[in-house]
Amino acid sequence: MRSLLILVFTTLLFAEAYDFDENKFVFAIGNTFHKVGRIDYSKEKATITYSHPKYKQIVKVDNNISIEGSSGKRYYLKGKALSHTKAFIDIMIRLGEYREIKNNKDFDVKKEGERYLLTFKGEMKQMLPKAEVRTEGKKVKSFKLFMNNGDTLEIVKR
Amino acid sequence: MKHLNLFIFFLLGTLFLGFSSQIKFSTNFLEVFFSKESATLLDVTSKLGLSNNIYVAKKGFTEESLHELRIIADKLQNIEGISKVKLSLSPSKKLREYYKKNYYLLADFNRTKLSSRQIHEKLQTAYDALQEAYIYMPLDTNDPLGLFSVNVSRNEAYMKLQDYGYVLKAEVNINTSSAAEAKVLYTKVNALLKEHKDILVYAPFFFLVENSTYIRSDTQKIITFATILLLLLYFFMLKNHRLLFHTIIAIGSSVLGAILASAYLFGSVNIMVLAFGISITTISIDYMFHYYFHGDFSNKGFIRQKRVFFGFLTTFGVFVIFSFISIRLFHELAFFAAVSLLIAYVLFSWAFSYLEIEKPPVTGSRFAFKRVNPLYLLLLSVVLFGYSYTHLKFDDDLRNLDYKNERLLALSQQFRKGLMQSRYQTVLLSDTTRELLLQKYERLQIKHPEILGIGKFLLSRRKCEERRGALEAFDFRKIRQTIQTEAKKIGFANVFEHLYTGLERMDCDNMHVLDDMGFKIVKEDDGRYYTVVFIPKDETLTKMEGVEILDIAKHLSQDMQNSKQTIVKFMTVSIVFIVAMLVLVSGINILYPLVYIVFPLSVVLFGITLSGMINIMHLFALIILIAIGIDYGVYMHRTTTQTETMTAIKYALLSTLAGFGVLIFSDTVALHSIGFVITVGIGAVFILLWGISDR
Repeated sequence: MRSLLILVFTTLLFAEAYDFDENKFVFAIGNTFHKVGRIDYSKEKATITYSHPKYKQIVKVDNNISIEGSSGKRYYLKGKALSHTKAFIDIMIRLGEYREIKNNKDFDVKKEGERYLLTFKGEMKQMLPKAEVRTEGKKVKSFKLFMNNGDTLEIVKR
Repeated sequence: MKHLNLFIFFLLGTLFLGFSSQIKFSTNFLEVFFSKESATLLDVTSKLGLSNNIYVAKKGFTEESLHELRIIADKLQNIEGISKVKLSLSPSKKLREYYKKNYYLLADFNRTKLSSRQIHEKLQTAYDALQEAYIYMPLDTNDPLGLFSVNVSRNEAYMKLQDYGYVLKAEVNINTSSAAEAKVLYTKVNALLKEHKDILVYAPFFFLVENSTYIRSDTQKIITFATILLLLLYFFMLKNHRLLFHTIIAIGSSVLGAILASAYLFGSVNIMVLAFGISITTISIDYMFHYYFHGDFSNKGFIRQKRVFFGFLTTFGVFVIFSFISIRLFHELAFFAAVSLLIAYVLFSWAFSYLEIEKPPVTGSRFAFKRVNPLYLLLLSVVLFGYSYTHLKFDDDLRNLDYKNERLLALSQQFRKGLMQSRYQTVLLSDTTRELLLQKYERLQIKHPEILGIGKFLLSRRKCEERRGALEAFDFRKIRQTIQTEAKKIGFANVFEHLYTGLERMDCDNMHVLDDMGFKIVKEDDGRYYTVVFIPKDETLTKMEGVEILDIAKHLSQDMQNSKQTIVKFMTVSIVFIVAMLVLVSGINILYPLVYIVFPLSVVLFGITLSGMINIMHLFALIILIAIGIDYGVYMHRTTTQTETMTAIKYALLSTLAGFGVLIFSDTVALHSIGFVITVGIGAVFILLWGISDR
């Protein structure tokens, strides 16, 4: 019983979440697409639930990612889709936390007022050369990813 | 002449010291058993880098674990002997550039011709997907139709050890079959990792380092133990310090002479040969005891004792016969034994006669046993032989002879399973040219699409030219125009300006092997080219010339079976030789001396049957036992000086027990097996000494 309580407390302790607005600019079609969602994450699991414009849930457990729509039909990602989405979820979690921005080894950080400019290193740089994080005190307010192909992806915390 | 024994010792000692820098002692235990084919195979696997990796695992799948591994990787990179350290599974920059350069040749190419309408539909689907996508997937502006594709099976960014943590791989560039070189690197790596907690480190060559270190210390302990036992025997039982001193000098001379001869002939002396060789040399003490208890040292000049001479000649003859055996260990050991026994015989028969050692007082045993007809023991032996023949099994796993390094064996198993290596079978491909080798890979790839190997990065010239021809035949100029026109109609921005970049620059000469590919092609001394591929275990390997599952254990097992057959052949020749010698000594009445071979042999085989399986070292020890047994059979046969002869044999047996029997305490199975045979065999000889009648 005691072990179970510890497990529950630990899970609660490490489980975090935030609601967000997502603005995705796709250079190839010259349009920005807006979505609303929430991310819940712990050490073991991450879930992104979009509520607008449509319900969609993306769940990452271990190395598997599944997507489920309003119909309840679920499918698992493979290949490039899997690796891209994994990287994207990882970034959403890391850039959403102020301490991660300060400590992360995968990018160089330059501070300009309440704005942090991140330059990615290693393999990540192939797809995502830089990002911009806006903070308020020690809290992240929003971040924007600048892709190599001209696409941008902005997450604004609600 | 009084100091002849000492003079010979100093002469050989000086020669040994003079050549000591050139005399090499090898500690690699298992390689002395390998056939030429197995040795080539091991050399190939070493050159292909299959056994040249060190794996370091850090507990936990957390960012902290990765961070610690990065620190370790930086440190390892600075160690001499380590060429590359890899933590991430993603391809290196060099490999990415190589792949980009040869992309249209290496990627799968869908050459189905598409109409303008089909192209429009495909682009429209891509457009809709971009608008509706909930996961971020960038549009491929180079190949929006997906004419080229690469099968990416990798889902992990880092190598993982199942249920443990992240793993880094360090490639080494030392000769991992050299115990000395391997030990230096082993020590450096372990010293570096000492300050890190929750770390597992494993490399196949660690077995060589740890086992040879253990065997060396085990051998040293046993030699020390045997020496103490022999000293106790001489000091407290024989009480003749001068005889002890000169016997040690004589044995020392014999060993030195054998080392010099072996080093001259073979280039190095294996530590196992040295350990067994010294033990075999101590058999020669029975010549000395026989002379001593018969008072032969009181007369100067070469001692001519017919029985000792025949005993020596038979033993020497057996080792000479075995020095022609094709098994390296036995061939070297038999040569060593023959040389050392010859020197010892000459020293005891010649140099000792000038020592003026008096005959000791000899008293008969107070115990009297009822002696039985040797025929009964011969019949008992037949029964024991029969039981052993039907129940005894041969252990052909060479690894079972080595020291059982439980910790490393468990670690090896954990890494083998945990790194998912157990999902694949390792297959060795070989052919006479590099081109034919690559063509073989491509033929195999058709049967086994999941194959992993060098062919992922390198095409045969034939296949490459074929692909180039297919690319040239495909109308990419028209495809480009259609994509650009249809994309505009759909509403895409101007993103398709650089379609199929670099397609015209594809050249088969740009393909070559890079270290970062993880696969190599090596050329062996036999002129063949080799590479290794991995094929899922659940697939049955297609039969083809030059394609075989890389199973070194199976090869070695075959070597062991061949060795067993060879030894049995040589044993048969030796027994024929011994019987011929017995006929020479005792005429047709050979039953009594023959029982000194047959009875101990049957008892030992019965003992091995009861305790497990017989291995190659048991077989070799049986030869030594035959060589010992026959000496005593000859000495005891119709002796007129039974008390002196029995006393001499008793001391000789105790000496052999001290020199050889102590091996029974070794943890190294090879040494233990010899100790077991000799101890049980000597026990049987003791029974014969007091239990059978010669009349």
